Amino acid sequence: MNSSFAKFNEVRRACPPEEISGRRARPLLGTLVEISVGGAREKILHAAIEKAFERIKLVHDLMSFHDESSDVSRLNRFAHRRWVSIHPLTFKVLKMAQQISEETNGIFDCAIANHLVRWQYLPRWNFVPRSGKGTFRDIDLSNSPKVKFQKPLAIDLGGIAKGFAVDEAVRMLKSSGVFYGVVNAGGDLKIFGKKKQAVAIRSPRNDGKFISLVPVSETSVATSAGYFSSKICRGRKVSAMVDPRKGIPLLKRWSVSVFADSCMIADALTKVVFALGEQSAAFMSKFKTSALILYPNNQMRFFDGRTG
Amino acid sequence: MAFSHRWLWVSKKSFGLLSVPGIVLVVSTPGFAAVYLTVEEAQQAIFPGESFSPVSVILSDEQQKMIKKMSGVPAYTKKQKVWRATQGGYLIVDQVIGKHEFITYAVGINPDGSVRQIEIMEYREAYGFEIRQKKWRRQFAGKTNRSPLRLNSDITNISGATLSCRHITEGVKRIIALYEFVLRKI
Repeated sequence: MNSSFAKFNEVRRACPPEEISGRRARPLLGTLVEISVGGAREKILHAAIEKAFERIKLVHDLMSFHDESSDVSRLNRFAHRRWVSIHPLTFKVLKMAQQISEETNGIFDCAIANHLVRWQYLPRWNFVPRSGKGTFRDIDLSNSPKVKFQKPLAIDLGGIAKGFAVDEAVRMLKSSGVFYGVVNAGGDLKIFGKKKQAVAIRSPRNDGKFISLVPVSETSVATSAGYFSSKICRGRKVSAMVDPRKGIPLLKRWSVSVFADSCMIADALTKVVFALGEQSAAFMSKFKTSALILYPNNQMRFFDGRTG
Repeated sequence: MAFSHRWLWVSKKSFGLLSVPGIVLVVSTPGFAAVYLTVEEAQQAIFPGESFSPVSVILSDEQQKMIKKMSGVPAYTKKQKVWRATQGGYLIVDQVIGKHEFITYAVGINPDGSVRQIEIMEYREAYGFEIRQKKWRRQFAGKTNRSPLRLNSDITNISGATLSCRHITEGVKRIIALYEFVLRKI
């Protein structure tokens, strides 16, 4: 403990948080997105931040469930009747979502919007089918960039688009000449560059306490937990975390964090670890990710699937 | 599952055993705060190169009612912090208070009335026991400038379940209504 703690302090002294020289936050993707960057002249940093936010805004505009004219809304409205042409970025995310669904046997599934609408997490558009019988298997992606749903279903990319937007923003920052930084979309974050940064994870009790991690570089972290979202809807306890196989809310009081190279993978896999708990180890190894589960009784379990 | 034996129990005793990322300690800090922009910085971020003159806006009861009717969100304060940019745009600095979070943000409005940009200026998070304290609440009253904050300045990157920004969305709706009923007519 002592050596690790000393190392933590040493690194922190070497690069205090003030060294980050550009830090901005905007409301996007239904949450606060924060970009902190350094390692370049101020003018370059600000132009880079601007470009990164623009990219996130594009992902937001294409994949928002709340916006009636987004690709996601157009798909939910028309794709069960005809082929719908969408932006290549949305197609890419759908393709990757489907792959993750296939590899996790449907424990991650983006065709769950009907549940989230029923539990009042998403707006009640009249085009969303009341009982979505379809799953990710019914999303036909064979005709790029067109999409058709083989059964009535409604998708929500909320479980993956934030991570994707973070990856895209980091790509923009790097290509604009930024050496190091962090993009944090309401808790799904990616650290890039050589500079090590500390990450804190909220306690699953949501009491304002944090668990700090040894500073890391070049990693993505995403966390899922019920503390901000669980509520009572029509006399029934619900949560924004859905078990797609059964169509029931997951009411565990855990906090699940996944570490991966890609923030999108980390984002999607938090749902898998949240649903399966320690049974998810095989999937962690398959995707080369690590996971940290915090239980409300202050116990934690860590699985390292990145180095094995 | 085949690999489940590789899950590690983590307790404070085993911190040293963990590879990246190793867990260090439970930090019992009661809140989080970040300052992104001062008023001047927000002005320059949203309307680069322009200069600004303050506009005094005090809403009448009638105007407050209209704003609520149009935006669906009540106007909490009568006084609104507004600046006019040289090219005809407006900058409004506003605050929203959520369950745990206090957010000061700036909205730039183009001369045609469309939203130009939204920037978060200050974000603070606090939990029940602090919010009930008068002293804690008082620091947010009328606060827009950079202020010395000793809160938890070590924690910069928080991973956690997504906190919704619904309150900002509502605040922006109210500001658009404010523009339509008050600022457009100046």
